[in-house]
Amino acid sequence: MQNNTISGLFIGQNLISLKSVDSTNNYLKNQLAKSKPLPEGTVILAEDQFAGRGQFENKWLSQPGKNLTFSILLFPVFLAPLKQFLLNIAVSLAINDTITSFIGCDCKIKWPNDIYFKDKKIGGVLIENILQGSKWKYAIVGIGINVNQLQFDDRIKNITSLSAIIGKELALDTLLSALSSSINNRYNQLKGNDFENHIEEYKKNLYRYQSMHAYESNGIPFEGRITNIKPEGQLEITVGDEVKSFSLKEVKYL
Amino acid sequence: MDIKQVQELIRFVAKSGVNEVSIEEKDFKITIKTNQQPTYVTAVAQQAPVAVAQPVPAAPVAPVISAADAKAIAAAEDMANYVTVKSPMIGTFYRSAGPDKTYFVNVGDEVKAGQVVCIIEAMKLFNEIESEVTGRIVKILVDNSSPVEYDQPLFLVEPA
Repeated sequence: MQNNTISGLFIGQNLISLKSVDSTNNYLKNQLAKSKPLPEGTVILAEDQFAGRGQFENKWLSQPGKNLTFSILLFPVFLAPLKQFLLNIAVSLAINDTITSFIGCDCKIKWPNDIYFKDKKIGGVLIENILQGSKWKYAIVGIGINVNQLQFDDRIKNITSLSAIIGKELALDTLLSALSSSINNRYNQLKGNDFENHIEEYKKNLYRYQSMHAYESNGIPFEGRITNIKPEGQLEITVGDEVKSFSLKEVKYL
Repeated sequence: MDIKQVQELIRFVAKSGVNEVSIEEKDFKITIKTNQQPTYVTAVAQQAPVAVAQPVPAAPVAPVISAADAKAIAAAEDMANYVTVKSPMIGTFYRSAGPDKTYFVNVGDEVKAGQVVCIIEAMKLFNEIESEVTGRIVKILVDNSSPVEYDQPLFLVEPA
């Protein structure tokens, strides 16, 4: 990739392409653990990620060469670790914007960090941070997008790919550079303290925002509307006249 | 005054040979008493019987540690010698990288500065917490996969 220092773009300037790796996040973590100096914005791209994680040990089943699986190394030392959900918001928004422009219609962010088209998942983000005590050292932003895969494991429901939506194949490198520059811009806004609109935009692009749906908490089903996201990431659902706040494991979408 | 300064102060008072030091600042007050030659102090008449029955090396008063119960006193005692690794956020505490993985550290283990001691998961963001000091794990204060609050003590480390 060309040098974009003047425009402030640094994500993807250092691109490491791997044929096959357990997970691009692990690869980055191992490199850092060996004290290998890597510049901020380094991207690890894998054709085949055989043990990628959806969430804590949920395997990402991806056909080699069909999808985008990559990790970005960031140094968000300017943010208190308490505010790390803002990084998740910035990255999710960037991915949502880019994919929307590629497929020509809206996709949505499913709280906290998946990308959905209608009721089907097309990708997700998994951020792993390294903190020394209470100081943020590194963020490893792992991203997986289903691009050209058309067949999925029967055990996985509610899944689709960009190519399945638009009916044609997409060039992975074009999508990767669009995603990199979009994430770069959102990240620069976060860094420049210019992110007031991020939470509002995240809400506007939220899957199921402001419409009635069924949820479950502590085994009890209920109906409500998602009405807010707190800066720390909690989901607020209005049930009747009452606003209830939920952490990740406290609520299930039905 | 932050907790590090409090710890240093406790250490200093313990070594100094005096048996009581009070410091009062704008919105902060701390009293540190040592158990060398316990003396009766009228200013803390309410707490005096307790102090006589169980002389303790250090009993900081509010607002730093508002609960002046035995637990807080014990914690203060530990803090004088150990470095506390605290949770930098609200989340879930994990002692390993996955359910089938071995724990990062156990009580008695030597740790190096920069070594990962736990993961705190917050809203699907996974945070590997590295120890800031080289030393030995003395105590693990939270059970695996339990919720933790911001600033909650997680480990006590005896610096090498």
